Amino acid sequence: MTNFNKSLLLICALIALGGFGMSSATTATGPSELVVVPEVDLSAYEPQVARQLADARESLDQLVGTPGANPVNLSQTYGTLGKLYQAYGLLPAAQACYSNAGAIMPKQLVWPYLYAVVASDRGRRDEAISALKYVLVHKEDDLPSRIRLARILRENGDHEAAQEQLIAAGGEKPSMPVVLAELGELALAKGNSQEAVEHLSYALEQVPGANRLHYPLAIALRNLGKAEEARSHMAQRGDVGIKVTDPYLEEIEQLKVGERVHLLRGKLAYGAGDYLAAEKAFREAVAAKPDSSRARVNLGATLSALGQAKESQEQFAKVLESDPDNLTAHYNLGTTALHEGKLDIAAPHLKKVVELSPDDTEARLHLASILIAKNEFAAAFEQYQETAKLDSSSQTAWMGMVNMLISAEQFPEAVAVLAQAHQALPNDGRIRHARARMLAASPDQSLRDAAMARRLAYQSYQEAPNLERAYTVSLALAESGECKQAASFLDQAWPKFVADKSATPQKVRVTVEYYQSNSPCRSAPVW
Amino acid sequence: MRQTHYPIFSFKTALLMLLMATAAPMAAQAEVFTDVAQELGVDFVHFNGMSGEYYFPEMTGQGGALFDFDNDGDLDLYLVEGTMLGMGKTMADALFPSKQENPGDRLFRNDLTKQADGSVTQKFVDITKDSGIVGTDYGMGVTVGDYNNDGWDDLYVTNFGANRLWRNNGNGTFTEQTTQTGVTDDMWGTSAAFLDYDADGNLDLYLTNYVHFDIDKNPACYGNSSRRDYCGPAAFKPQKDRLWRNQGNGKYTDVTNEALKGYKPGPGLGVTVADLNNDSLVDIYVANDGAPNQMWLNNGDGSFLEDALFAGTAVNSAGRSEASMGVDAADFDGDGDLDLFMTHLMGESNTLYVNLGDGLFADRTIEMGLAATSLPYTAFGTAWFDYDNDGWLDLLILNGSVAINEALAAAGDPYPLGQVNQLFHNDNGERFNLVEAEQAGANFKLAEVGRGAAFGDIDNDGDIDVAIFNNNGQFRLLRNNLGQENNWLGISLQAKPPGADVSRTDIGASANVSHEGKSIQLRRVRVDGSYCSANDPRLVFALPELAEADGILVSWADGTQETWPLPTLNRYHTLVQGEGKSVD
Repeated sequence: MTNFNKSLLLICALIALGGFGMSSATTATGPSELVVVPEVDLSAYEPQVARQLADARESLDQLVGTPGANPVNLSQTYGTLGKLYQAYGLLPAAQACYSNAGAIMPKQLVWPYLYAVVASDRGRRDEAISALKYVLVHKEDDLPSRIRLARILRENGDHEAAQEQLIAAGGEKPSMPVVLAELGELALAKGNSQEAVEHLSYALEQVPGANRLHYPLAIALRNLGKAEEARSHMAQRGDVGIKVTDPYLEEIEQLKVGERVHLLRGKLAYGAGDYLAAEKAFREAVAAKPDSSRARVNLGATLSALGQAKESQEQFAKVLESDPDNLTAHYNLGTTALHEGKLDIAAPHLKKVVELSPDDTEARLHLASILIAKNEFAAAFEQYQETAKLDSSSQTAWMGMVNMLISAEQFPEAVAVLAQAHQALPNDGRIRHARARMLAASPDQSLRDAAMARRLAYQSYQEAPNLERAYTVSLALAESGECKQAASFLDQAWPKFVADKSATPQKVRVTVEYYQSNSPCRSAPVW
Repeated sequence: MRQTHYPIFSFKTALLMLLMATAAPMAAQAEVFTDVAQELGVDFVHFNGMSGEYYFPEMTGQGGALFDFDNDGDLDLYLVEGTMLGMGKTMADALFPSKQENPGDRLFRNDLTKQADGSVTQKFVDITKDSGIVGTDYGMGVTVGDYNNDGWDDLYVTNFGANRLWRNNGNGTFTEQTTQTGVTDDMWGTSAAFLDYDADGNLDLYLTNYVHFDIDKNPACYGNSSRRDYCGPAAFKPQKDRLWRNQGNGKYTDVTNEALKGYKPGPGLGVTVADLNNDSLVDIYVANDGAPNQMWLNNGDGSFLEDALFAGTAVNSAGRSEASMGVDAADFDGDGDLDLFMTHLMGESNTLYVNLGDGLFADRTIEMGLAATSLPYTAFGTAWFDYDNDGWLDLLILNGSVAINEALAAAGDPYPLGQVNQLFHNDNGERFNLVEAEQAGANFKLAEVGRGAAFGDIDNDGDIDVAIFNNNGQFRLLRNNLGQENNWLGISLQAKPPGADVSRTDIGASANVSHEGKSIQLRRVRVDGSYCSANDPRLVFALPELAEADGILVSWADGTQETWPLPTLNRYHTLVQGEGKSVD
């Protein structure tokens, strides 16, 4: 760029900044120069929301139509409407409102700030940058604006400008976690992995819950060749970042009304494990719409999480009064009753879920466990069988069938189901081990397959060594006629698992001695 | 009336524009792309079967294919169509009734004739009825490959419901072979791709499935404004993808569990199959909507290891999963390895992952100029292709919202999801710059609901044209008016699988145009990528680099390599495996 052009740009910028102040002289130019706030079609909105927005818009229209209206009031009314529009995601209208609010009262920095937030959310980064710079010219220590500006500049690829903002926010030796986190991500973007590691590690040290930072930290470590450390951080990655306290945005969030807003808020709180906040939000949702099944179902689930089983079940029951086929209410009533051991109450609700939603495998598995407890084995088996058909990756279903078949001494069928399960879930260690055990030591000796049992047993032991699996290896060796090896393997393995309660030392000793003193040794003691 | 900008900025912008206009007056240029669909005989408006119920699939489809079904050397066209959605619903319930009496997929034959004087006549003829294809399912996408090695390209059509494999009989007709081959799947199929992952000469098949959506249990979802709106994928459980191994006897085996170690379902929308870690084995990259993407690295023993997170391609640089839709893999920066680009939801940027050369990637979206420009749009179909034949792969991105645009709704738009498409020029592999709509073409000013896009040279003039499949909208065929002004070289790579009598397109192969053995341009044979669509598998290389090129190095899908001297420029050539000079 030529010096001439640079000078012109500078002049433009200066005019622009001055222009904001001047254009805000509402009395000089009048509201007619303000931007048009787009109309919003409220007809499809929830009634409470539509009413709230319509009232706010009407207030504004009345004020705009009042000759000599107080500019403070006018700015405030534009801003209030803007906040509501922003709260409901009506961003172009919100941006127009903030533009007008700021134009009328240029010293109220909340408007250009919120204007910037909305512009940024709309992908209009240049507008956001200009507005944030305007705020910072008038209030240098505004941390939310500074951090937001740095972030937008970084995401725009303007690394040097972003760095300047972060230094302005945190000084040369920053210690604020949010500044450190931003500096870390900026360093990574600039290709300086070592610096990124330092900043991000320090930020995480101060705010260990900010698990989103694990990912950029992991990438920086990976770039430095520290693969294991990188993988360890990747395993810890999440969605929680470091936020700057921002009362303006928090206020906007609180403006929302209506059942769905409370539902959303409740779901977020529930997801974060804050059940008390979730309960409050869901109660508000119920109050906003007493016949809402969703609100009551969520309230019931939250009360259940808070240990208030009785009231929880009352909420589900109330849902079923008006919505008798509500699947979630049936499911939740069934599972809460099951949890309390009330099988007779649980069973009909879970049966109803299966009837209404035959592909609900979780309901089928719960129902199967109830049916087993009630000695209704054939019906339980059918539930496992259907579940395995619907979801061949359900280990519980496969193992449920296997266990039932073994209990009924239907060993050939158990072997066949294990083979199917293993084919469906070739990497499942529990199934592999169960199959190895069956092939090594089936009570029906004609079903045994020593070679395959050995292969599977060794594989499952190597995957997850424990005493139970060591025993299976020894059984497979015994089935192969290698009694000495079976004894030696078990003898050497078991000291590693002294804390393992699957067998007492006495039992292990007896088994080892059996292998040592018998050949063939296919009938080892059963643990 | 003033714009809705903050006053100071509109003023500044206006001054800047004035300065720019003064400093660099632009010469008037012809538009790069012109929509010639109707002129060439393709008047097709997609039907999505919507009836006001906000069924998730209705705004999700669809794609199509550019492929040479009759082996006459030009690209024919396959269009995927929707049908009425919802139990008991009839056309009378449709908000936008179909323009076809019986909505169904369409096959158009490209009748391209070059006259003695060099002029070209071209038209597309609807031959659906004669082809035997009855595509009356709720269509999503399509992929192309010669699964039975008979030299004729077959079709695998994905549906919201049962997918279909159409065998090309080689006489202008197709026969359904889904159950016979074993590639049945009745979930919600989206993108699919043929690949030869075990290098046995038979094309295997990867299918991405999306989410469990039951039309009879359509949940009500709402936007921020509290308005009823479409649900997103988070409202449903993801479905399992499928990898089928071609046994070579006309039958496929589902090897998903065995081959994809530790497989976990994701809401898949896009897939590309390419060698992403330079080990001469084809890998699989799956673009998931709102969940980490998956990069299945081929172990070479029939199995794959998923390692996208460590490779840096699962989530963006901030560690966040994005709503990935379309995807492509190509060497955009000319460094000899394949990079990845994928398209995302409004508010997220599209993402470009640069291959660092060792199978590790870095998110360089911002640095390449592709972040800010994508934030206001929800993007689907895309591909890297060299629209101006300057040797650098540019980008075209189809946009179309998946949530109601309040401004459009307030203006009375009955389907308020429309957005404009974007064309980006690749500046020497260092940055992508948005091509203004005035220059790109009139179509780039239209707000439509862009979904699938297929890329290929429909008129064999050496530049890449684009088929655009709009949801609930007019099909567009964008003819490239620009690229053919430069010299070019077209290559079709044909393999002769063991036991086959004829050759077929070698999906997964790649070629380098080289100078004294050093690669100048790398292009891969790809049908895959984009969104629910199938691309022209031919390679096009461009000047100016070709001026000093002296040979072509071909890496076949089975891992072998051969070289050829540089053929004549400005025409297409076919290179058949085994006919070049073998490289040890």
